[in-house]
Amino acid sequence: MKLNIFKMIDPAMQKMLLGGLVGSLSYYADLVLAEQAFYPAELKARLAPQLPRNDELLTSIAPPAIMYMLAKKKPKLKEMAKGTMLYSGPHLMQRIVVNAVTPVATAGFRMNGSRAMPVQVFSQTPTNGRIYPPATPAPSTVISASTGKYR
Amino acid sequence: MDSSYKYMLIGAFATGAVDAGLDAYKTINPAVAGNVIYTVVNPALPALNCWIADAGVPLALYALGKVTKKKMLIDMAKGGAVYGVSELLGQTVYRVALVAQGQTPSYRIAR
Repeated sequence: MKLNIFKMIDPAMQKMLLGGLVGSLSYYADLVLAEQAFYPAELKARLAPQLPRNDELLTSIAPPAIMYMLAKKKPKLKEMAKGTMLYSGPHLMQRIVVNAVTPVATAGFRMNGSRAMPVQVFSQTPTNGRIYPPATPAPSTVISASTGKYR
Repeated sequence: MDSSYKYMLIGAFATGAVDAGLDAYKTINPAVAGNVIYTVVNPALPALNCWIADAGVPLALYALGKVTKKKMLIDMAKGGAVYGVSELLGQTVYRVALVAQGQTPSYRIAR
């Protein structure tokens, strides 16, 4: 007895799964390529610290866009285009959320949600001497044995 | 957009939201990396949190749809399954490629 799970799924769903795989494999193939020496640095850059890398944005947006353009010429590809959208849309959202909470993106925010003091405050050059008064040494509580009543 | 596809999109985004939530929680609190839900059984396979989000959510939606006999939930499960299966397969291929080169996938994926 042969168990072919793929044949148990209806044809429209099969095409959507294939479309999802097109989006997924293009994203992860790009991640593997990004480790190579010839990969352009511009694609590894980020528009903002909260956003994923440029290549991640590109490989999340381009596959459904290309599939929808192809689907206009070949209606058979419409289901695949839908499947690519089903993968790439939520995956882009996932990457943006995870990047938005990385320590680099949230620098200046404390874990409890309160705003931490901006880094610039500490890097300002004081104009009138010191920002904080110099630390004064604590008064000594040791009584010299050579003075007082009990010498 | 037909209503079936609309619910599929909702299901896919719901699955993606759970996936993002679990990943973001680990990013915010690196101390939970040792928690059981972030277990990596084999470096060539996705971590347990990915299985929970990408396979667990569509299965839960499907079971809920069967119990309550609501087509809406079944459609949502289908959408979640397209996202989840694609993500799990893609990540497995990526991890296998890195393991074959002798690299640590967990470091690369956490980038």
